[in-house]
Amino acid sequence: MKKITLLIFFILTVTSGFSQKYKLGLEVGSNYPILWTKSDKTLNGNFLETSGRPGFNMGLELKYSIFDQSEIAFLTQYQGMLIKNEPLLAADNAGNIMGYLESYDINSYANVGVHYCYTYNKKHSIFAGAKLFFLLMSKTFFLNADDFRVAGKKMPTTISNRYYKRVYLSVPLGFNFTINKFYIRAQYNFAITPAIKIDNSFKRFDNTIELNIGLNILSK
Amino acid sequence: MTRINFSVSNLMTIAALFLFASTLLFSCGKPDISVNEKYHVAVYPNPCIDAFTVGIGMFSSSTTIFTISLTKDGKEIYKEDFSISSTTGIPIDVLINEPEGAYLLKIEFEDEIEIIKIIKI
Repeated sequence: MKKITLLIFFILTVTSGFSQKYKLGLEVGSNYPILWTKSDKTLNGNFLETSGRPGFNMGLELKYSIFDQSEIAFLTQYQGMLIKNEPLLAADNAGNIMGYLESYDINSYANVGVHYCYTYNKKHSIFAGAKLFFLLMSKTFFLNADDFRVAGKKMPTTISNRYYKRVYLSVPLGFNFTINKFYIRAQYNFAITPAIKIDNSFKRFDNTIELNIGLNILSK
Repeated sequence: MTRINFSVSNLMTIAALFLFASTLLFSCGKPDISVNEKYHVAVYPNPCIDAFTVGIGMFSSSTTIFTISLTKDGKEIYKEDFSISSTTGIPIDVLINEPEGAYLLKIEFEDEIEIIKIIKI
């Protein structure tokens, strides 16, 4: 978090010298993760049968006008993502099936991004950029943990996921719609680096759809 | 008679919305798993406390070569090659000194990869 604060401070310092107009927006929104796998072999296993569920975002967007119809935007966000897992087949020491563990993955990320926005009239703009996701926490939440005991030990309700990458990069593309002090930003983040990687034969990427609604709290 | 004005900005907004909606629809229906019945893989116990066994069931008598690996924090913590010609149980105890959590086990055959989530409690 200290690194992100320093990065934002650096960006503000550097850009404040050449820009005349700026807007600072406070935003909230929703995201929908879309997981896809890159592998050169046939894939099996119920781990792959996951599906995204709506999560939430909140953050700040700072926009500078650099030319007549061009703006550059810096973003920092806290993003909570939700992924529903297929039920995990639980088995005892002898391999007997005990039942199915129902679970959700809950991931939280601190994000920083930069967008180049082309404004084609006062209300509408399209943008492209880069966004870095820094993993803060990843946990699996079990819905029916109380039904299971392993060698007399009680099954915990939540457990840490130790396979997600700490950082991944995506390229967001999208559009902005502005109404007075409010703005709506819809974007699709194309994952460039994997969110999960075992080796080169198995990489899992997370493309995320986002819809954010913001209020410009400061402007010049 | 009512006239509808299609300005460039309105058309661009409609095009952007259409692109966004179609991307969402096509992405959601994308399957990324198929089933191959050459091998049967079972892991037990799962959830486990310190060690687990990978059971490989074979549907043919020919020798099969495969690699088992385990991932933690995006890094591989265990990898070993095996060669078997009949149904086998392979004990793996590398989680003894590892913290509680979910790990990914990958079993890589010549033409197939099996990914299984291992829960250590």
